Formats: sequence, structure tokens, C-alpha cells
Amino acid sequence: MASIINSISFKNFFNYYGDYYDTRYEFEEGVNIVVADNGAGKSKFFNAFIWLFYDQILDSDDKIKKNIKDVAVKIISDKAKNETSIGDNVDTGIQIEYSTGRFKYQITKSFTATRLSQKITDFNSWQITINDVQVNRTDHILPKYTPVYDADEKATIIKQLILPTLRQYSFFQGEEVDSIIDFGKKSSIEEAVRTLTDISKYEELVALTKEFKDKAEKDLNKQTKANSDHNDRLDKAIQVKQHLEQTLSNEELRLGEYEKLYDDAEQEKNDLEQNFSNAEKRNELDNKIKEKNKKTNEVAEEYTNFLETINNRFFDGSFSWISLGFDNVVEDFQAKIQHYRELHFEKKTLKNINDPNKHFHFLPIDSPDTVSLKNMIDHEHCYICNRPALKGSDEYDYIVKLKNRPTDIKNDADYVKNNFSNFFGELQMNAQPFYNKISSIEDSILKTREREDALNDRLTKLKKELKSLKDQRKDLLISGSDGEDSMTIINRYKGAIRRIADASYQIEKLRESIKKLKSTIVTTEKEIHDLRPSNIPAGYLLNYEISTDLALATERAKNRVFDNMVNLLEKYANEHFQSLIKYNDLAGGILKFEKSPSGSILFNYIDSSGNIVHGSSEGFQRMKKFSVVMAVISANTTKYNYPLLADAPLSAFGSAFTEGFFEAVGEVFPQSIILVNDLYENDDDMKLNELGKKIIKKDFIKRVYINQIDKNREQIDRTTDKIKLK
Amino acid sequence: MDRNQVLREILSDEEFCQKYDIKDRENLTTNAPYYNKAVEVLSVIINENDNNLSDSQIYKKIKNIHNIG
Amino acid sequence: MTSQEFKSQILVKRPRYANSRIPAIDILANKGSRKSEYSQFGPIYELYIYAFLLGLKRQIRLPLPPRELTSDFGLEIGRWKRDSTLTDFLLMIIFTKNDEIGFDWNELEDMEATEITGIVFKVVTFIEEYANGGLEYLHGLLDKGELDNSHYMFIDMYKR
Repeated sequence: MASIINSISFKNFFNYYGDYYDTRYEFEEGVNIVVADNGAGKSKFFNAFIWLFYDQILDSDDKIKKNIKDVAVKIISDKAKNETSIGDNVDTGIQIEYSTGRFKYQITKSFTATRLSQKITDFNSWQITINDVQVNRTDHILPKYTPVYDADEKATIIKQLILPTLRQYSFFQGEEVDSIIDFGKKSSIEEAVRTLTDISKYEELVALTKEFKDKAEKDLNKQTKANSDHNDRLDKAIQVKQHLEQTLSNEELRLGEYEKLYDDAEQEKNDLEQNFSNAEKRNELDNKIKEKNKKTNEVAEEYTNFLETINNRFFDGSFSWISLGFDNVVEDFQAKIQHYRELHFEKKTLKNINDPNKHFHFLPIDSPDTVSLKNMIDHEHCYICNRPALKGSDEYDYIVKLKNRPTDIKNDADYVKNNFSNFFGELQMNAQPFYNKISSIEDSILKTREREDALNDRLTKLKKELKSLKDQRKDLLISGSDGEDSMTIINRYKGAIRRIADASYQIEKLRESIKKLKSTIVTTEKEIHDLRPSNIPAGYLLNYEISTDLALATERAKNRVFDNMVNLLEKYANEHFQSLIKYNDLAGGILKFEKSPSGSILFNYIDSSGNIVHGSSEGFQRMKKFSVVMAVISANTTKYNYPLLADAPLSAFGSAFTEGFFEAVGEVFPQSIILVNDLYENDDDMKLNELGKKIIKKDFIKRVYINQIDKNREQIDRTTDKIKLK
Repeated sequence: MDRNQVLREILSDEEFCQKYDIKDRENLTTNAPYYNKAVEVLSVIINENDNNLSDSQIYKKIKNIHNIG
Repeated sequence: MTSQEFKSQILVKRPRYANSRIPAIDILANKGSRKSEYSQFGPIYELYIYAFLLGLKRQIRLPLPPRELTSDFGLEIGRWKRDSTLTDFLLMIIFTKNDEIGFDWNELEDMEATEITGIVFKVVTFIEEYANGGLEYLHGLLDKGELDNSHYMFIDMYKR
């Protein structure tokens, strides 16, 4: 009966703030999807199970699994930590419910933290007490749970959610898929075969029968020696055989060493390939980050400079914010200067009472200008009132006097002590830039704010993009030092390939020689048989003969069982692979398992022309590995009865693979819970991108949750909200 | 793990079958009566290994089958 | 006296501020180097002009303490934003306030040189006292922590 996870709940666990009923995810049989953007609880979700099975969590900073007690403070929700006063407690835990056919179980693992001092992020500020694991059980008829007290029983209940030997096929994060089926490691497929078959039993029997063969031979030789017809030639033949067997044994040892060398070199080659592709991706991301960083700094500087120059707008003549509110000054000044001029010229008039120019003081000196006056005189027409001013008329004379006026001005100098007329006039004229645009200052301020907002938005967007790139970079698991450059990797790669070739050659030679030795041993055995005295009790001969044959037959049986399983895996792997790539353009080829010189299983994709397809996209590689994992599960003699919990790096798959993936997963596992971020689209109403919307419509997708986090809040206030979409 | 299954698997070796004239393999079991000595020896090995007897103890049994010391 | 001479007399003056305002000036003007958590003006005269006009808008006029308790910032009015006609605008504003300062435009033209000097003195005092009022207002807000911590602090205050 399959175990089905019914719900997963969290209490103050990383970004999941609140009690168990606040953050409870309910799941069904079939495919369940939890969509979460990076940092919105995706890997933390996963950690709940690592806690459940192993009492550890995976520290996202260094990707190392650590014991709960050691990282407890990090696990507690920041918001919960903040709300706990000194001396008070906060509980953190996970709760999982699952059912088998008969029972339903509820398992709770938690710890209590007491706050001791101020610094909430300091490990020493909290006292941690790990609580006893709680397990409750109910049959499906009664609604209430009853506690399970026995410690062993509790452990069994937890274990059987997914059996330990199968966990590696059922429960993995993205990168782990790579390590489960590591094509360089001989042990990977063999381990799978071991899980799926009773090959270990055969191995026991092989050892036994071989031992019995040796014993039978010894007994026979003893009998032979004891017999009177025993002779030197027989002795010699026996000796020769022993010598041959010794040599054979040495050769087999050497073969073993070279096979190991081969495997190590192959392993290194595969690691480097992985490393290389990671290194390339790393480089690509590094370049993008550098670009983005540069752009961000530029805009940040532009923004800072802009902010600092806002106050310059007070005194800059193009903006003249300083004039704001002084609209009345213009009118007041105009009124005053008018009034001043009246009195000023009145004084002049009083001084020159008979001055024929007296009527002219109302007009500023250069108004009308000399050129206009000359025109009016020449044309005998006043252009101001548009009336004739014929020569000899009063009007004509008046205009002439106006024109001659400037020449007389020097005589006016003494009608005031200080002639400040220019002083006031100049002020009015010069200050124009500062009062001409008073009405548009409000607008200018508004535009400044808009400009600032635009810059700020741009800066925020760039910062967000930069962070996203950095997060991606962080997710790239690199084995080997970060400092290794491409050249070093290539050289090491070449070295590994050379060593593979060398080992391969040696292995072949050794196998040849071993084969020869074995056949020589056989002929020697025959010779020995013929040389044996005829009166040895039949029992010994028969014992020897049967045990020899049994040893061989058992050995062959073991290999057969192994090969059959490998073939079966190949068959299933192909089936799964075909359905995984159903929506992809890669159709037309098959997966082929092959034995390498060292005996490890290689796994290649052969295209329709029979050529091995190397290296392709990362998504493709992942797909190959998923196929094998699913094949292992399908080849299980009983139906696979455990849920799949996977953090699926769909971006590595590509959308074409993703559809196939969900379908295939639904067929192999009775229940799967897949955590993804690649279906998330922040700007969408449903928070799903195109692919996500397509997937959610499929019938076999039973449940979809979206996790999101309010990134505008301070870290301390951040919590994960979940939305059930289906 | 089924003892009979293991027995049949090992005995499915063509050469062995021919040499020891083994017929009707599918119905063979690790229990008496045994088809012939070869089958008996193999059955004993399989059974007693499963019963966690030591190798020397199993070998003694085999010698008994052959009536040797 | 000519217009030019009259203007020069004014422009050569260096208005003063009370020493008690120095902390506020340090915070609100950066002279190109000191940063503070508040929005700032650059040269001190900018802050001074702002304070003067702010004081004028809000009608806060405060006499300065005795001369020995005051300082000037070493820049005569004529050199305030020399590349622009800002000072002309300031003088426009000031001369519309002639009633408050205590003179008549036309009477100026009949004054003796010594009398003119007195008027110039009154003008400078007018500037100083309103600036003092403005500075005190700013200083008060600063002490009470009521200064807006935004880049629009000055303009927002100016608008009200």
C-alpha cells in the first residue's frame, strides 16, 4: 500500500511564520506542485524532510547539512525571534501527516528556544531544547489521533514514509539528481541493481562454491598423495597448476588495480565535464554580474548626484526656486518704480519750469528711439497715434523736440544730488530671469520629483536584477576550487583521458593473459585428471567435479542476474526517456547501457544513425538521469509505493522537457510533490508564467501552491504567504 | 528471496544442465527428494547458507553426500 | 553719488550671523566637503540667502547679538552667485520693503553721503535680522529633531 503525504505544516520555520495551522500545505495523490521564487521558502520546504528523516537541515549558505541543534537559531523565523522578549520562549517545528492504506500518522518534530539576551541572531542569545518527537496515529475510521509512545515504533513509522534504501530515488534536490546516477561511478548502477535484485545472495554463493571447489581440490590431492600409485608427474602437474593459479591470482589483482585506475580517471573526467560546464556557466554569470554591477553603479551615482543638486535649483537661473512666493514683488516694485519716476521727474520739472522739454519727462530717455523719431519726421506721420504730423504743424515740432532731447540731458544732472534712476531700472531689468518664471516653479518642482522617482525606479530594478543574477550564481554548486580556470580544467581533462586510454590498454592485455592462463589451467587440470591414480574413492573425484562445475555455474548465474537487471533498467529507462522527451525535438534515438573496460556501466544516447550523442544541454543530461532513476523505481518488483519529493530545476530542463517530466513523474510515483521556481512570474495575477499556466490545466496535476514573500518588507518582517491555485 | 528461484537460476546454465542431465528445471526445489547429487549439493549450499551455517559446517554436509571423510 | 556708487556701497557689505547659529550652519551647508544626514546647501551664502528669505516669508525678524558675538562668512554680497543676477533680485525684494527699513526712494536722491551710508547700514541690518530669524527657525527644528529628512526638505519648508 502506497504511503501518501497528506499535509506538511510549519511553525516559525525559516520564512514560515506562525503556528502549524497558519502554514499548512495539503497534498493529494498524483502530482502536486509548489511554486516558489528564490528565497520564498522553496528549499526550506525541503529541509522539513531532511529534519524528519535525518534531524538535520541543509544550510543554504554553504550547502552543507548540519545538525538541528547547531543551526537552531538560524532556523527560527526572524519575525518570531523579534517578537520574543528576553526570558520568553518560541517554538519552532515541522509537522507531517501521511497515510498508508490502514493508518494515518501525524509526526511532529520541534524545538523550543528561550531568549537570553539582546542580539537575536547570536547563537549564544538563545537556549535550545530539542523536544521529543511526537507521533500520533489514527485508523481512517476514528477522527481522533492517539499517541504512539514506544520509541522504536515511532522510529519505524518515520522510516517507512520512504524507506532509507529508496530515499535516494525518491527524495532529492536538483543537484542531487546528478550524484544519484553518476555515470562515472561504477557503483551507481550497481548499487541500483543491488537494491533491485538479490544479487548479494548470489555473491555469497559464488564465494561459497569457490571455496568448496578449493576445499574439494585439496581433499582430492590429499587422497591422491595417500595413494600408492601417486607419482612424480602428477606432483609436477599439480605444482604447475598451483603456480598457474598463483600467477592467475596476481594477474587478477593487477587487473583489479587497473580497473580502479580506469574508474578513477573516468570519474575525474566526468567531474571535470560537469565542472567545465559549470565553469562556463559561472563565467557567463560573472560577466553578466559585472555588467549589471557597472550599470547599477552608474545609475546609483547619477541618482546620488541628482539628489545632491536638487538644492542648486534654488539659485540656478534656469529654475530659480528661490523666487517662489515672491510674485507680489514684481508688482510692488513696478508700482514703486513708477511712483519714484513720477516724483523724480517732477523734481526735474520744478527745476526747469520753463523748459520747453518739460512735457517730455514722462517718457523714458530712449523711447521712442531715435530711428523711429527720424522716420516719423521724414514721413511727416506719427506712428504712435497714427495721425499725420505735417511739417510746420505743432505735432511735427513736438516730434523734432523729442528727437533732440537726448543732447540736452547732460544739463539735467544737478536737479538731484544722487541720480539713482539707473539703479532702480537696472535692478528691474537684470533680475528678470528670477521673476519671469515664478508661475512655473511649482511645475518645476513636480518635474524634479518625477525625475527623481524615475531614477530611483530604474535603480531599484537594476538592483533587483543584480540580486537575481547573484542568487543564480550562488546556486551553482562547484566541486573543486573556484579559482581553477578553464585552461587548468582542460589540461586535467586531457590527463584523465590519457589515463583512461592507458588503463584501457593494460586492462585488455591483462584480460587476454588471464584468459590464456585460465585455459592453460583447464588443460593442466585435464592432465592432472588423467594422471591421477585410478583407485581414488569416487566420492572425492565427484566432489571435486561437481564443486568445480557449481562454482562456474554460480558465477555465471550471478552475472546473468546482473545483466538481466541492467537490461531491464535499460528497457525501462528508454521507456521513461521517450515519455520525458515526448514534447522535445530529440525524438528518434535510444538510451544504451554499455559496459566500460573497467566493468562500469556507461549510459549513452544513441541517435537514429547509431552515433553516440555527447554532451548536449544540461537539461538533456538531467533527463537521462531522471530516466534511469525512474527506471530503477519501475524495475522494482513490487509497485513503487513511496512519494517523490523533488526540487526540480526546470530551467535546466527547458519547457519542452518540463511537460514530459510532470507526465512521466505522475506515471511512476503514486504521489509526487515537486518544488519549482521556474513557473513563477511576479508580474502576473496568478504569479504563473506561460508554462505554469499550461501545466496547471493538466488533469494529472492535482494541487498547485504558490509561495511568495513580501520583498518590500525588512528581513525581520518577511514571511511566506501561500496561495492555493488548484 | 526465494531459494527455489536461486536454485533454478543457477541450474539454468546450459552446460551444467547438459552435463548433469537436468530436466524439468522449473519444478525443482531445494527440498528432498533431489533429482541428482549435483542438485542435492547445490540445494544444501543454498539452504544452509540461508540458515546461517558456517562454511565448514556446510562443507561437512557436502562430504556426507559424497560419502567421504 | 551715482547709481553705480550706490550699488557698490551695498554690494561690498558682508552681512553677519550670530555665532550661536554655527552648529546649524555646519549641518545645513557643506561648503563642498562636509556631509550630514540632512539635505544641504553648498556654500554658506546659499543657506544665508535661504534663511533670509525664509525669515522674510514667515515674518521672523530677530536682532543680532553684539558684534563680537557674531561673524561673517567672508563673502561680500556682490560676490554671491557672481555669475548670475541673483543679487539684483534680492535687492528688488529689499527695496520693495523700503517702508519697513525706513527710507523713501526719492528722498535717497537728496541725501548726503553720510546719510546714504546710514541707509545702507539699515539695509544690511534688515538682511541680517531676517536671516537671523530664518536661521533660528531652522536651528529650532534641528534641535527638536523636527527637520524633515528628505532631499526636498528645503523646498517643502519654503512652500508653506
